[in-house]
Amino acid sequence: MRLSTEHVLPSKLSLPRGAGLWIALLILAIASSLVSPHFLNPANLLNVLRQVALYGILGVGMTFVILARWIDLSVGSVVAFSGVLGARLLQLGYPIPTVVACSLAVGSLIGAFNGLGVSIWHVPAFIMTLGTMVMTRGFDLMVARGGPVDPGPAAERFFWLGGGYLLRVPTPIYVFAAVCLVSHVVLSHTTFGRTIYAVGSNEEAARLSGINIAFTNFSVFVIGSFLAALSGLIFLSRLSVGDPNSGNGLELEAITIAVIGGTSLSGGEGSVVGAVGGAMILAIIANVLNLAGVTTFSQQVVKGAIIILAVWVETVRTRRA
Amino acid sequence: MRKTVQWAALVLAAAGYAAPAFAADLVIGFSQASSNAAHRNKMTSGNKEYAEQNFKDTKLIITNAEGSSAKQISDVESLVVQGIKVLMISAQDDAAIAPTIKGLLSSGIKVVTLDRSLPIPVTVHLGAHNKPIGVLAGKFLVDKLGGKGSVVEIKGDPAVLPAIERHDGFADAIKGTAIKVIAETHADWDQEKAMKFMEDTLQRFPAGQIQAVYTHNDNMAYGALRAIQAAGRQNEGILIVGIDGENKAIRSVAKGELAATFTYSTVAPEGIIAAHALAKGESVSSLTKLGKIGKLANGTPEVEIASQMITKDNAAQFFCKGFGDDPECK
Repeated sequence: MRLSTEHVLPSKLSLPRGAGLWIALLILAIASSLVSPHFLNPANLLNVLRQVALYGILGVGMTFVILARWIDLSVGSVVAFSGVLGARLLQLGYPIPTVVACSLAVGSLIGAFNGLGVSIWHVPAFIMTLGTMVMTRGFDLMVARGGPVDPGPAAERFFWLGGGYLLRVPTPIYVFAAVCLVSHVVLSHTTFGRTIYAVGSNEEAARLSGINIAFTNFSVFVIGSFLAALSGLIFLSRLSVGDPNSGNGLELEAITIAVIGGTSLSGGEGSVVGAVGGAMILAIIANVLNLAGVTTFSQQVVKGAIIILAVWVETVRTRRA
Repeated sequence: MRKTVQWAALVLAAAGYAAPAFAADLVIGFSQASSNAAHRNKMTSGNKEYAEQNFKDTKLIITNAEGSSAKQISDVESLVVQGIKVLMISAQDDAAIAPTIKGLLSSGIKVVTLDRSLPIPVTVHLGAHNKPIGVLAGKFLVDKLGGKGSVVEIKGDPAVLPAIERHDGFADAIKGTAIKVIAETHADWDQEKAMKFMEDTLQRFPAGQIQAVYTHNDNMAYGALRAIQAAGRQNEGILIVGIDGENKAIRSVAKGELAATFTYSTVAPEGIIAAHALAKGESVSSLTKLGKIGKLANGTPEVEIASQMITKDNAAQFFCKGFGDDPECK
């Protein structure tokens, strides 16, 4: 998307970095409002924002991982496991704060295991996280004993986190806003954030300048999995059941969001703001195709094409740079 | 030293394998495909519990292939070594297991397939049919809506037969009435996908434009229900229909949140009842009490276990008799 604007506009008019994403988003929004009269309906826009929030949290987590030039395939399993674990603990009568803390802690532990594998044992991230993806799904099915877990009466109280409203705005949007704010500050305004960019763009240079590479790599996996676990809890509260077979393919959704948002797969480049834009583009496309009554099959074609387009634009851009 | 180890292993193996064969008169094996779905787990536990309580003369040995067709072949071989008279099997992959099953049949072991049939003739197949369930669900809505109205259909995974048949049956039942499917999607049995689609669809069709939601399983029915509740439209009287008869869905039907669910048999305890009868030397025609007897295309006799309609009127009779997690059942 960035590429097309660079081609269309003369270089003297060059836009700030990342502007292409927002122009694409604007065009998409205008097109959507022409396709369906319901698109600009305030209720629908909140609906879209809620979907942005649900997947955006994963996209932001994945941005951290990809910035350090890794990949995390286990997030879909972590989402399912965190939800199932939460549901089981609620069912056993534990109070909500304990349940939330437990699920987040277990999610972070899985991330720590990934981080350990990649940064200390030097297992390629693709293989390491593929392994934990399968392992976590196994734990998930064990805790769930193979079927959906009903949290019982506690579900009604827990529903608010993922399905409720605060000042007529769906609660997950607040959670997402908080996640974005904190992540943005960490990435852009702290030393730790800058070390992630440094490690991702040139590990050797980062090492020579005294950055603790192993710790940085370890941390991004913990952050990614923590956010996946958080997203799992929101899914649980939204659905009020822990479905052990859910979350399949969410890792791809998260990678797509990060990449559409301008995060470079070769590391060192990308932002939280970009991930928000990426999540918006995906959510609007899914929403407007549903509003227009387009069949599931065509939706998959469109979605796949967008993934290829985004990565292609990214590749061409890196080659030109 | 190595010899001793080998002998010890052999003795242990013999003890492990032979003991159950002599402990009871009838040895029946059950090779289950996987354990990652509540329906499948109920098939395993339901048959096991029924055998423990009712068939004291029977030793039921259960193996689980955990989704691997290679493991299922070795599972079946290990059951044969243990001297089974009858094998109950729900295949992970019907083509992969067929040669092994052929060998079993020729050595005189009877084979009962559960839920998933095989491409070769076996002693008997037991299972439910999906198309009649779709028809039942369609007729239910035709009846409830007085033959007219707009329905949203949320389908299963397009690549598998149950989703295709549950759709076809429903389409047949509403044909010729004024009931229209105004929006449809494949949500792949996934609750979150169903909910997301329903959220968008509720925006597309304002109040009064949707009379019912037909979903291909209870899991997705919940997704639709949650979306309707979250949009504050639960008082519009949108009828939500699910399929499977999960315990949790049965409770929701009783509460009026779901309009109906239709059971998809877990073949428990019908599976063990049939296997036990065959092990005792009874013929397939004695199984009429379990369901309607017919024939599959490959000539295998089949017992079709009918679906039961669960609505608010009869839901209480079905509490805890479905499958899946339900804290109130323990």
